Amino acid sequence: MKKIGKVPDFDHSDITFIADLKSRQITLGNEAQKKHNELVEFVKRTKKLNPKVELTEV
Amino acid sequence: MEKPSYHLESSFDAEWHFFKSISEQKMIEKAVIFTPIDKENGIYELIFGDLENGIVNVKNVSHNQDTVRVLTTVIKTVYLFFERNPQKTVIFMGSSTARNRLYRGLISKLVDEAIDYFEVLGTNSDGLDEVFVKNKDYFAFKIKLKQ
Repeated sequence: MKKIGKVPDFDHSDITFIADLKSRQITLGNEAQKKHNELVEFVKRTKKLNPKVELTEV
Repeated sequence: MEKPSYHLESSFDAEWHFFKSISEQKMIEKAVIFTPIDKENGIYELIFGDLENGIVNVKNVSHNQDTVRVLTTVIKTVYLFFERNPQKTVIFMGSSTARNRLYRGLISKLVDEAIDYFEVLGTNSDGLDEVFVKNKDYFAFKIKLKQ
């Protein structure tokens, strides 16, 4: 039975968690940065179009 | 998810992942980065590309004969991200027609394998979301855990 709000079971045995992984110096290439900026603007511009549905208890 | 995937190196918050795509011809280092673009609403962008001298290149088409294994590995990073960040939404778009096809393939696999767990949306260029339809073109894709 699936659990609401959980991901499916999957194999973690081939995952190595590294504490300082995010200290690696990486940067986005030109195209990645351009797409990132485009997506940031897109989300900012359109965020009101898809308001969250609020459930009301009756 | 029983298909072969590549070994992942991941950060504890599951926002950064690295793996190596390996064939007889070459080895390509890959990066999957989940980066916040709207913190207020918990929206993270999935950026996937080749890692070349510390630069994430999303434009490359590798032709390394391992697309399924690479996609399976990227899906694993999505699972891992949501395992650690169950309230977040992931959004992504292709950097090219080829990359859009790759992402659409990624989504289609996810829909087939885990639709009971994830809400998968396609967003048109006007910003309107709808339930993802296979083989339909979208400006961007959104995934979140069903709550």
